[in-house]
Amino acid sequence: MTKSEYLKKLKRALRPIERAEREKSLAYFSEVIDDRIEEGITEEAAVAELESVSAAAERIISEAKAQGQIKQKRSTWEIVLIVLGFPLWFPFLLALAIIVLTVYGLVWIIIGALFLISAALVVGGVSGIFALMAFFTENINTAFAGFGAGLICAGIGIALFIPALYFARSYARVTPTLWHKLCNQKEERWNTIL
Amino acid sequence: MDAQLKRGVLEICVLAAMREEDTYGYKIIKDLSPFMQVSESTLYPILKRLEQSGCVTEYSVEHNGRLRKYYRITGAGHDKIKDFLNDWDSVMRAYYFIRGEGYYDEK
Repeated sequence: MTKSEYLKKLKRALRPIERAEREKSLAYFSEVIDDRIEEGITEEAAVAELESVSAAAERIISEAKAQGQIKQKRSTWEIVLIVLGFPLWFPFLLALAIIVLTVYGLVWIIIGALFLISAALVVGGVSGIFALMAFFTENINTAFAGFGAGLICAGIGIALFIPALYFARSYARVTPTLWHKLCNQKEERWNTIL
Repeated sequence: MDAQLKRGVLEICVLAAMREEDTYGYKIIKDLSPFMQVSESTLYPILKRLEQSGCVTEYSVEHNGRLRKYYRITGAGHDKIKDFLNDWDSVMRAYYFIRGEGYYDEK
């Protein structure tokens, strides 16, 4: 068995224990395995020298029990309330999920708007060149004013493109992190509920 | 050995193992192995208890790119060893009485 397999199994076996205490136990076993490997034996051998997952888990759990570090089980009443409360908490949960999604989408829309403004300004700038050509014979002042305005627009447009790209990239980069955090919390919630 | 007795003795052994210098989990197991067989899962709850009762403090040190937890004995820990040795005198008196070999103090 590899180290990660051992720790994974142990983690599962230690599920009744409070999270903080469980993490501490796992860190301890991880350290002990690493120390053995450092002595020059293989990972498999290091794990084989340990007690079986079930024996180790039994000791840790019995100690945690003695110290009141066991997760509280839901009482029947609480379960009944959770079930009966379904019409109440489910719409809330759904609304919450929708709000989170909306806020997330909103930021993308703002970023999209930045791109559109940038593009519009560049298009405006290009039209300045046409203004120069169209008005050149009629009124030279208007022609150059139009051309100048076009250049300014194009300049702002190009300048705006850079922060827009920057925002889009950073937002795309944090998306997996956000998702991960949200899911982890959800998992913890379920673990405490069940 | 009786589990309860072993546990009590083991606690003192663990404290004694860190008397000279601060130590870490695997080193305690190695240092105790000539005197007492201790598994990781036996040691862990003992360290936890000692820490909670203030006999030991712990701190983490980076070692080869990972964290290793070190344990240091406190004044209360030293007292616990002393108490144990004192208590043991009375246990020995009982021991010789149980064996029917008379008085321990005479030995």
